[in-house]
Amino acid sequence: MIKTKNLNVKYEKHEVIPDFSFEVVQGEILSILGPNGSGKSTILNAIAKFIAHQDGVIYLEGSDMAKMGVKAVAKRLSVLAQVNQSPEDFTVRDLIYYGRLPHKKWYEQKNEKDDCVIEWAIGQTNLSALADKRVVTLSGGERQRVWIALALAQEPKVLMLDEPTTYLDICHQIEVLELLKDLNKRLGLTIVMVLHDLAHAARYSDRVVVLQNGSMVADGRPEEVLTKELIREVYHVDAYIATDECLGGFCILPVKICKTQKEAAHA
Amino acid sequence: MKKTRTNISIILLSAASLMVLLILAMRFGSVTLTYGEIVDTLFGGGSDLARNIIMNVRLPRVLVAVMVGANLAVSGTLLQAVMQNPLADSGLTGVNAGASLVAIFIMMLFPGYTYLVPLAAFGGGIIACAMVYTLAWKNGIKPMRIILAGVAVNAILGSGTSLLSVLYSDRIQGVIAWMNGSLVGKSWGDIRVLATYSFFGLAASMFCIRYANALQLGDKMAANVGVNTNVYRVLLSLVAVFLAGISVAITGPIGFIGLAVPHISRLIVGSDHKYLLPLSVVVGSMLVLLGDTFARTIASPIELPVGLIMAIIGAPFFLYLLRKGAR
Repeated sequence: MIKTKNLNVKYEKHEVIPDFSFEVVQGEILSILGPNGSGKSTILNAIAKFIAHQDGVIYLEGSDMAKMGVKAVAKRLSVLAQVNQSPEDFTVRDLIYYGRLPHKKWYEQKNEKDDCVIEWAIGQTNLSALADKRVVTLSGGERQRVWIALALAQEPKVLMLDEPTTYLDICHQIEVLELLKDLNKRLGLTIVMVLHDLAHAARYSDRVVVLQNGSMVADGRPEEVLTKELIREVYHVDAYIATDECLGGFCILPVKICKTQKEAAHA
Repeated sequence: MKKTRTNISIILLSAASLMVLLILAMRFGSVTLTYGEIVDTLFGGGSDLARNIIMNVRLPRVLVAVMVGANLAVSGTLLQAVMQNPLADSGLTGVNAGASLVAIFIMMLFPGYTYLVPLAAFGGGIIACAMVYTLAWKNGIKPMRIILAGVAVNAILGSGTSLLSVLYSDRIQGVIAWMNGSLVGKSWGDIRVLATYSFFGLAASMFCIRYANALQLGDKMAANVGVNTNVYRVLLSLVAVFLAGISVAITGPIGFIGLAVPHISRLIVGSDHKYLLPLSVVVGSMLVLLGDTFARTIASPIELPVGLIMAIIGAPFFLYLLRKGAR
């Protein structure tokens, strides 16, 4: 679906991503993990064309994204930033309409097809009861569902999300992740997300990619990748990992900060 | 659906009130005419006196007021979307400062060429704006950089204007009226020019609706739905600056309209530019027309600059709306 080859991203002269190659497989949920400043969001932003990359190629469904128009990309790929803003008076339905823009020529107005897709997106995200409410009056979790509905209205093949659960309480965190899992299952939507919570990543992703200083240090199924050793190495945290009796997966409990080898040497 | 119908009725209703206001504005002045005389004259009849007053003085004046008001209001509405900043108006892009500097330069140093002022002022405004956007460009164009570059360019050009006013303080009398925005003595020639360009500018602005809407969702969301933010930021600015530029060129800078009309209109029809832009056209026209009518009657026979009146009556009204709107 998405493939990057030798991606290189610099901010001014500071190299954030030296050389990054990976591939997103159709139909999977992929989580990108790593500490703050490891380049997770940068990779997402580079693929979304929010920021320019200096070198390397990004392919979307086999085509070089640099040669695709922004609209052509927006019909296949939707990227939700961590924070989104809605004008104060827009209702849920008003806002979701903007997901239809990539499908419209500059002279085309809203038509029946758009209304159909908007209603479908509202249904998919369980927003029917809220469709005529103003977006700014909704709770954080409801708002996140509205943005996901907007993304669905684009009818994309891939949905990328930058920390979709940040600022949400545990109930709404799970609600959003369950919704994403559900959309992935029912619609076959490929999902790529940047996450901070390892337990969430373990539970909701088919595959995780772990970054450290802009480079990939692990890639695989969550239970293979998220080991005590990796967590210590990447996050400098000693963690307790156990099988999860009630869910049949496994759980990760951060215990304490451990010193890096470098810090240990200084001490 | 209900909202759509309400908004369209509001826009039509305010357009109708603008027409009424037009007739009203033509009534007052050094000679008060009756409504009958005004209507007769407009349809080709009327006395010679009424004819002379209306066709040579008042009609050109109200037409300029209406067009300039519409242009400045639309310009401000577009720029507030482009800058994602509620304080943006055309002044920020340097267009006023550039036009003023060039106009004052000609009026003070080469008074014989005053007839060139509109053309030169337009050029000056566009060059100043080009400077702002060039300085703001760095791997694309971000609102904050336009605003900061605008402040800097405005400061430089403003000091040029101040310098000229100090050096040639003996000639400043004739310039002051222009600097504060004045609708005095506009000819049918001015109106033809203004009408032609306003038509194209306002027509172009109606094609900006979707992109202005997308930009107000933020850069990332706009990019996500396939809107190239750099391209449309520049295109929308071009339309806005063109509209402001031709207005400043004809009347001199009139403040407040570009800043306040978008807010007033937004409080009434909301932030969808499909309704916001058309209503801004009408509200901008009404406000300048009202302001100018006050300006020429309130201290009669002295005429005050319309820009001054705009600030005096407009600002408190604006504050009232803000307090009322913030429920």
